[in-house]
Formats: sequence, C-alpha cells, structure tokens
Amino acid sequence: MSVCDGSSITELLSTLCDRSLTGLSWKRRALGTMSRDSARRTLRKRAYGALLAGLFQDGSPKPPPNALSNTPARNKILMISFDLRVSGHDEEAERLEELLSHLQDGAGLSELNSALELLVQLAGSVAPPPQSF
Amino acid sequence: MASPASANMNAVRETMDVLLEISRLLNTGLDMESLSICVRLCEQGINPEALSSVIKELRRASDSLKASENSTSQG
Repeated sequence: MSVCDGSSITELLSTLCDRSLTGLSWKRRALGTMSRDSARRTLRKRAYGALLAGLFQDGSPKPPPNALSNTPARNKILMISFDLRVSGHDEEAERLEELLSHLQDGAGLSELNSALELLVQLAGSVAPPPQSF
Repeated sequence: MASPASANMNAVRETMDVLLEISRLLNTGLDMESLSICVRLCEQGINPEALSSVIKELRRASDSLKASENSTSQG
C-alpha cells in the first residue's frame, strides 16, 4: 500500500492550488476584485505551466549536467547537514542525520527518494522560524 | 496481532512524520497536508524538481493575489 490511493494527479494538483488560496478573503468579490473561481483558475494555469515547462524543450540545448545532478537525495541532505554544522547549528545537523537514519529504504513509500529530493529542492525556500530566547 | 495492511499504514505514518520533521529543519514551508499531497504526486510519477517549481510558482501567485487584495482593501 502507498499513500497515493484514491486521487489522480489532476485532483492532487487542484487540492494543492486550493490550499494556496487559504488566507485570502473573498468578501470584496462584489466590489470587482478577483473571484475565488477566477483565482483558482489562475493558480491552476500557473501550476500546470510550471509543471509542463520542462517537457516541451526537446529542441533547445540542455544545460550541462552539474556535479550535484546525479547525487542521491540522501547525500544532498548530508551535505546540508554539513553546512549546518559549519555555520554552528550542530543540534539541527545532529537531528537531521538522526532522522535520515530512521528512513530505511522504502519505509512504506515507493518513492521515498523522490520525496527527499523534493525537500532538498525546497530547502530554504521560506524563512526559518524566529528563534525563541 | 496487527494485520500486514495496518502495519504498513503505521510504517507510512511514521515515515511521513520523519519527512515532516526533516522538511521543517530544511525550511521548506510545507505543512503536513501539503507534504502528503506532494508525496502522493511523487508516487504518481511527478518529477520532484518539476514539483518544487510548481510549489514555488503557487507561492508567488498566491503572494501576488494577497498583495493585490491588500492594495484593493486599502484603496
């Protein structure tokens, strides 16, 4: 069994788009601002645009492969952990390595490495939470 | 004794908890529900790099919608 039971790619992408609309107010719809349906369509269009951007570029020259492109996601996370240590965040680095060691091959997911690669790709894409004193 | 199905479900849940904590340490901005959707998309064969582009694009689009909403409400 995997976690992908029951939902198609289009349904999952729609749910992802809808989650991006959380926090927006629709009270001003009558005043001429964008409606929820219109915003949803805009987000879906941009999501599919981003998803399909790499598919139709057969004729264009491909960028040369860099050293990291063939590195397994686990190793990339270990490299991030090393960077954390170098910058003095030993606790986070320790915890990251500990968590990584908990993830055995498969671990109930058929695409665990893809999931880890996604996390690597999104690493640092939001600001870290404020430190508590 | 737990059935194989429920044992596997527990394994998936534990793996998702570990992935979420890794995600937080890496500052990816994903909450459990979004992470779960993304893992499902990966399991459906979506390339993780393309998926990260989708997430970043959705954040940009959502931010600009919020910005336009704010400018409208102030005007």
